[in-house]
Amino acid sequence: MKADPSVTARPRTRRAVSVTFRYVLLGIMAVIIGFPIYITVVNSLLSAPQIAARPPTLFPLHPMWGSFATAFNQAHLGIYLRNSMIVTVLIMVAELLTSILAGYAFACVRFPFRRTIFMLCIATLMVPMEATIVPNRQTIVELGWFNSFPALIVPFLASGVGIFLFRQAFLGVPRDLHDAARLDGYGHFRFLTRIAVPLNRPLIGAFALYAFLSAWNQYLWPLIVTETNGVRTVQIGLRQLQALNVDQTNVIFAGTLLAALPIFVLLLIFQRQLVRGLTAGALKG
Amino acid sequence: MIPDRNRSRKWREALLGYLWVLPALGVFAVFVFYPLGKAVWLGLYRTPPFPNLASKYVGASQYGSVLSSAPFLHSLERTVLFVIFTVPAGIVLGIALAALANQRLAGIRVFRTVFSSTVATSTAVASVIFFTLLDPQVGLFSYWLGKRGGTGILQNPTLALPAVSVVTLWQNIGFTFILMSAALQSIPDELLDAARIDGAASWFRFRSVTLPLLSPTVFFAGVVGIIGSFQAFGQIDLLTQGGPNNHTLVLIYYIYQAAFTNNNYGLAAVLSVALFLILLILTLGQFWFLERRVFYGRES
Amino acid sequence: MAGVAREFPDLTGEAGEVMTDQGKISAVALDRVSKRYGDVEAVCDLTLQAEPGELLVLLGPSGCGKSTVLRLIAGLESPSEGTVRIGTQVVNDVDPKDRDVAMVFQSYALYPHLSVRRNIEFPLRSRHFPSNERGELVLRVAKSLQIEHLLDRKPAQLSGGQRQRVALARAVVRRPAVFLLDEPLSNLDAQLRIEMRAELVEMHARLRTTSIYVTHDQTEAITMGHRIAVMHDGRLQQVGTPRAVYEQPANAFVAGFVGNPPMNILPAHITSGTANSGGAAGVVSANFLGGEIALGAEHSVALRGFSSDEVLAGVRAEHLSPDPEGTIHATVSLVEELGDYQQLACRLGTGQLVTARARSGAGTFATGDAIALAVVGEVHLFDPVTSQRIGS
Repeated sequence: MKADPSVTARPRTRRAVSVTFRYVLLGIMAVIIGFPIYITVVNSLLSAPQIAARPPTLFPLHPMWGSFATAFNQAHLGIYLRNSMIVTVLIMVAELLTSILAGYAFACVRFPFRRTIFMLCIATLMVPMEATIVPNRQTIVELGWFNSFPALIVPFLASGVGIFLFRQAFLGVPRDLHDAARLDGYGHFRFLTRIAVPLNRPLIGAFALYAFLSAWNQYLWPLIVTETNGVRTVQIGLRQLQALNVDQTNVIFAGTLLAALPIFVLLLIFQRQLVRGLTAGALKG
Repeated sequence: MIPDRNRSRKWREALLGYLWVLPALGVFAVFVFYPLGKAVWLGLYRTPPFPNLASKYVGASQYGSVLSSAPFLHSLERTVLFVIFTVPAGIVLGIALAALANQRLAGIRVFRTVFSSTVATSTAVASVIFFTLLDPQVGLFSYWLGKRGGTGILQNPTLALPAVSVVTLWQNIGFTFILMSAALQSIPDELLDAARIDGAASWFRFRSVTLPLLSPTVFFAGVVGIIGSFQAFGQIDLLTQGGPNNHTLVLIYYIYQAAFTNNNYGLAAVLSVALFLILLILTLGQFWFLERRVFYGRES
Repeated sequence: MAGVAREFPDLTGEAGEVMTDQGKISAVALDRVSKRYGDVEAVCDLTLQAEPGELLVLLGPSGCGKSTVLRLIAGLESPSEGTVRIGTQVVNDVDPKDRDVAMVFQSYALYPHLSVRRNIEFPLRSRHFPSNERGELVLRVAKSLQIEHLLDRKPAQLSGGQRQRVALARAVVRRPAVFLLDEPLSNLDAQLRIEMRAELVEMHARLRTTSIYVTHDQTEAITMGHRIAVMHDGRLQQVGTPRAVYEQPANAFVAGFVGNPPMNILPAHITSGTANSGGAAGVVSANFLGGEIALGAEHSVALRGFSSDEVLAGVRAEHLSPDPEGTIHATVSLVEELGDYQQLACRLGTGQLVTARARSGAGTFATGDAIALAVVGEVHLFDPVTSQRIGS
């Protein structure tokens, strides 16, 4: 079968043009968005004088990895990362625990004033951390927790978002499953741990991701309750890093990469939970 | 005998309920409700000009004077400007990128990865990178923008807030892109196919089918973006510290300065309450909206 | 208790439980049980017993309280009043897991995150059966239900019928003393439902476990139950064998609910044959369906104690046939060909619709035909006020 060239050629050219156009657009946007990260990587592999040299080096022909070690050790990124990891993991685990327990209780356990107490928990969504920093810092000082891990962790042991999400999820567990398990002698605790929790693994993954990200990225609170490197988290560490001299810009860039690395790895692993995990917190004011 | 057993069973169940709710409730009591009340109360006391003097009870008058003061109105204006600079542009850019990347083209995954890559950066990471790139001495962006030496962009009163906004935009674009992409992909193909069969050109199709279906997500991104911008602190602290000449002194940074630079807790408390009320209205608006479309009919 | 208990000569015992080679088989008895939720009375003063080894069907429209009865027996709800007994024991205060009952849910209630094997094993695990015994029991029950090839799948990978079998397997596996089945077939398509009915009856015949089966489908009830307990608005209407319930409905509700098509029930006026209406004793006639009909002599006695001439009369479709001599005039509005006979929906002169049947020998009818109908079988009379049956 022969195609009539006059009929097919024009749409084909037009399509080719439009595809090229799209690639050009995509390319421009990718360069704009990707460039800051790209140049960060490049600069972290250069020496400080190379970074300052003009015209700039856009491709490191002789990468030098030393800046990472310097950032990790001399600029204390290692300690900051360790602190962040401790704080973040503890917050994430605790938030999961308290949210799952409370969410389940609000969904499936009967007790007086359940609705009122639930509304109180949801009301916390409307109180932003930023509005309570002044009294909260005083509380931390009064408790003798200033510049310590408890100051970074304890205020975040519970999450209104988590309670809300898990309550919704547990309300969605069919009543027949409860009944079937009850006939086999499962009380609330065993039903929760053996059935309700395994059933909601995707939500747990998404919420864990959300909790991790928001704890890891905290800035204001750690800034006002810490003052020494021993307890500073990596975000505050970056503030120290930024103050480094012009002759150490390579270390600054390497440090930002080190600080972003754990999140980058986490997002790669949890790609499937990404959207839900990122939007979970959108409930929060 | 029967009611007795029932009662004890019910009581045991209630006890379990309270026990499981207690940890969360305890944390909320100490770190949410108590400080909120205390902030309101602190706002009734004027912090003395010199340390070690007793603070003075002035009642609601401090609220009146602070909330009508020029610095507060200035910070509010800066905050609103910051919202205007970041939120609409972020959403438009997010939709454009999502639409651009929502095509069956070879290698599209690479572009998607690049577009979503900034979710891995925290505010601090983004700020430090841009701060260094905008450094008037060694910053590459300063060099390209012809600003080598002299006053840097972040030190320029006119350009500082737009610059901070661009950094914020960049840092948020990954999130907005992912959000919009997910929304785009959830639009059923049949709808777009139907529009195609109806002869709609691609721009018209986008405007008349895709955008309306995207509108809940746009609303959502809008509210989240506005709330987020009101809470934006890290980029201000790292890039400009409220300067130059208070040109980036947004409300949250004003609170921080009042409380922790000037130790004026009374002032900070009043500002905190104002921030809380503003965000409360925004959040309630969001809840009202979500209530209507997401949680419809799912109350117990 | 109305109705005739099905005979189980080798099983029925005074004690309420019987040991067989299959294990313990218990009777289930509810004595004056009520269940209220706030102001709503879901079950009202219910007295009912399932004999050991019996398959008792609880039949009624949705919302009639039949599922609540099942949940009361299972222990998922506790009665507001009355006692529930399983075997010889009053179980009001016994935990569900200690009642030795198993339940099949309408939604099957399979644990979505567990494999079929783990689902079936679940009741054994939670009762700490040793693992070697568990494996053997699961395999045996899976084989008997022909699902052994599905053991490693997750419920989501199964068809509706397969899920149904898994749910059954999970209920059967530990040989409970009582089976409770809550509309187990209602989520299956029509064909599969008929197959599963047969299988359930066969399984029951094999295990002879006392079973209480809840359904709103009267065909299911009639085909499967040894006895049927009809419920309506939380109250027991009638208990009896399918035949007894079909042939001698205790009230107008049962008459209308059991049987397909439903019995034609319409007001009738007694014109002669009773004390009130005069005429020869022994021959009762009534104006019914717009025609004058003669009722059987047995009604004469029953009606003697009845004060009014206005009654509700019911006649089943198979007892209402076209007959040139018939006194009831109607127009055929719909014809359903059913092989041996035609089922006719007929519009009466009064505008009401009744169902009649024409044997294939009696000629064929078409929509629009004007016909005469005659009552060729029993007419059931009900009190229009209480809707209770008049006479036997």
